[in-house]
Parts: sequence; structure tokens; C-alpha cells
Amino acid sequence: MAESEQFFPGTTLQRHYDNTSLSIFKECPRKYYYAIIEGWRSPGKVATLEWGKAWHEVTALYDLRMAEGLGVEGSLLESMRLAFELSQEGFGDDSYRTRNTLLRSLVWYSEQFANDPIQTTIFDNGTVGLELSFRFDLGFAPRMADAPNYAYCGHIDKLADYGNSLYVVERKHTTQSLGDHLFARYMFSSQVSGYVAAAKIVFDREIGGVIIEATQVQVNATNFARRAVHRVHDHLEEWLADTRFWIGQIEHCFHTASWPHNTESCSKYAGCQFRKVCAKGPATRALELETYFVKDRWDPTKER
Amino acid sequence: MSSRREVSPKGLREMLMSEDPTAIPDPLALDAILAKHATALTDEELLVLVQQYRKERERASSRLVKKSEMTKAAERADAFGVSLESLGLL
Repeated sequence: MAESEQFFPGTTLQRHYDNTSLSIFKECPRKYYYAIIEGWRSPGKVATLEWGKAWHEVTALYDLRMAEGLGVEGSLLESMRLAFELSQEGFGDDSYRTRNTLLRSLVWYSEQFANDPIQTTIFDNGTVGLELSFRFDLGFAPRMADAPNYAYCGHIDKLADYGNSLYVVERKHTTQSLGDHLFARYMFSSQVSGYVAAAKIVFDREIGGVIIEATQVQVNATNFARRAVHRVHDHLEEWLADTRFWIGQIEHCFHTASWPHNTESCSKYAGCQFRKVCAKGPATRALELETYFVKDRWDPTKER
Repeated sequence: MSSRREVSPKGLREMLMSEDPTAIPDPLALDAILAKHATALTDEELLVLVQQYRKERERASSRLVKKSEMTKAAERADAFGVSLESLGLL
């Protein structure tokens, strides 16, 4: 039995959802079962994740110190020290994601946004709008006696004032070029809709949209681009209805103890980490997982 | 790490802070800073890195501007049916 707060007590039915867990289910219900319910993942460092996590931390510290009025040089020195600490063990075997590219990207970020029209929001109580974890009630419950409602969680990188509007800033990094192709994927992104809904519900503020702040990391250069993505009220109604549908599907899989394999997703991107598990017969898959994977469950309720 | 050359941060700083934007710093010296443990870094060394990365960005920007100018020149030359080489621009 799963023991995390993310599940209904004594069950493996997830109660607290985030975009990551819902996306994995949409990709493949069996992958969701292995990764989210059982909590398996491949051992070792994934450079994309590790470097991305470090990038989020150092830019958040830089923006925090800038919002506190420390100035560019002071903010940069402190966040570069953090970058050194976070890169001490390296990021795995990846020529793009190194200590050097992390430090260089940070300095170039400070230059690129030296006169930034997007200013980090500072709330009336002094809270700086950086690294904000949120959670809200989805307004519906599973078909179980006395069960509380489902909830949606997430983590906002930055809330910022731009013009007269409030925006969620979502940081992404990539090695791809920063063209229309990259930004097109956020046009219908559930993550974007979830952020806009959260900002309206949790922060009780009208929101202009989400600014995707993309960082392209190359071996010898770092480039930046930002683009705003907007959502009207009807989009959010659709997002809520779709979220309800997908959670209903998860509930159905839970009640029938059946997590079908979506073979269309096996080879997407770099390929599903569980391909070699699914390639085994059903009787030997558990052994394959115990032998080659480690337990490290993704938990949306964990605040950063 | 032990095979790396020890450098004087002062000397490095002087070299990197030089006014010549085309000055290329000793990559081994910069590698020596990058190879350091986080707890052993001085502010001086961090500043050296900051200056170096700023210079790299300036060089990258001027390369981009030059590339863009050359692209425009090539388009104009092409419109007149001549090459940049024949104009002595390459």
C-alpha cells in the first residue's frame, strides 16, 4: 500500500494530482502504474532533470536577491556559489549540461534581463513570488464512501508583474532552437491551464497568462526567449472538465485493477524507461523492476 | 585536478579585465577555477568567471551581428548576380 499523502489513505488511488502525474497517465496507464503508484524509476542521474533542477534553483536565488535589492553583482556572486555547489557532482554524461554551461547561462541570464520589464511580484505581506507551491480542491470526489475531494497541486517558478497584469513565469530549458516549434507545444498545455487556474483560485488575482521563459543551452552559448500564452475563462472550464475525465479514467483503472499498455508511447522522445520491463512476460516484470530499477516515487504534495 | 596549472587569481583578473575585447584568456586557467570545490572558491575567482562569461557573450553577440550583416550583404549581392568573393568581401 502506498503511504504518501498523495493517495487516499489505505489505497493506491491518487488523491493529489499534478501535471506530471496526469501527463504520465495520459501517455500510458501502465507507465503511470509503475512510476506513480509503485514509484519505480531508472537508477542514475538524468542530466536533463538534474541540470534543469539546478537551473531553476540558481535563477530563483538570483531573482530573489535582485527583488531584495542586492544588485546584479551581489546577486550573481551568491547564485554562482550555489551553482558551484549544485554542480559539484556533475550532471551525468552530457556535453550540454555541465558546470560551465550552468555558470555561463546564469551570467548571460543576468545580462539578458538586466533591464527586465517583467518584475518579480512582491505580495503585500512581503512574500516574494518565487518558488510557490500550491494546492486546491478540484470540487469532486471518488466513488468511495466518505472520501474527500480530489486536489490539484503544482509549483510556480515565478509570479511577475508585466504591464498591469500578473503572469506566471515558467522556466524551461532545451538544447533545441527557440523557434515557433518549441513554443507551439505550450499552446494547449495542461500545465499552463493548471497554472492559470491556480493563480486565479489560490492567489485570488486576475492573471494575464503564462510566460514561457525558454533557455537554449549550447556547448558554447546560451540563448533566451520568452513568449506569453493566454487562457480565457472557457479554456479553464474545459481544462477542469478534461482533468475530471482523466481522473475518472484513473479511478476506473484503480477499481478494475487494470492498467493498459499504450504502445503508441513506447518510443516517444528518448523512449519509455519501462520498455525493457514491458518486453518481458507479465510473470517476470516484477523481478525486472526489482533488479534494474529503484524506488523513488514522484510526490506532488511535496513542497519545494 | 592535480595536473592542472596553478594560476594567480590576480594575474587572471588583470588579463580578463583588460580593455581588449578580443583577448582570449587562457582556457587552462579558467578550467582550474571550474574544477575547484565549491567551498574553496574565492569571490575573486567568481568575479574572474563573471568577466570571462561576459566577454564570451560580447564575442558571441558580435559574431551574430557580423553573420547577420554578411547574410544581408550576400542577399543584396545575389540580387545583382555577383558573389561576395568577387566583391572581395570574403
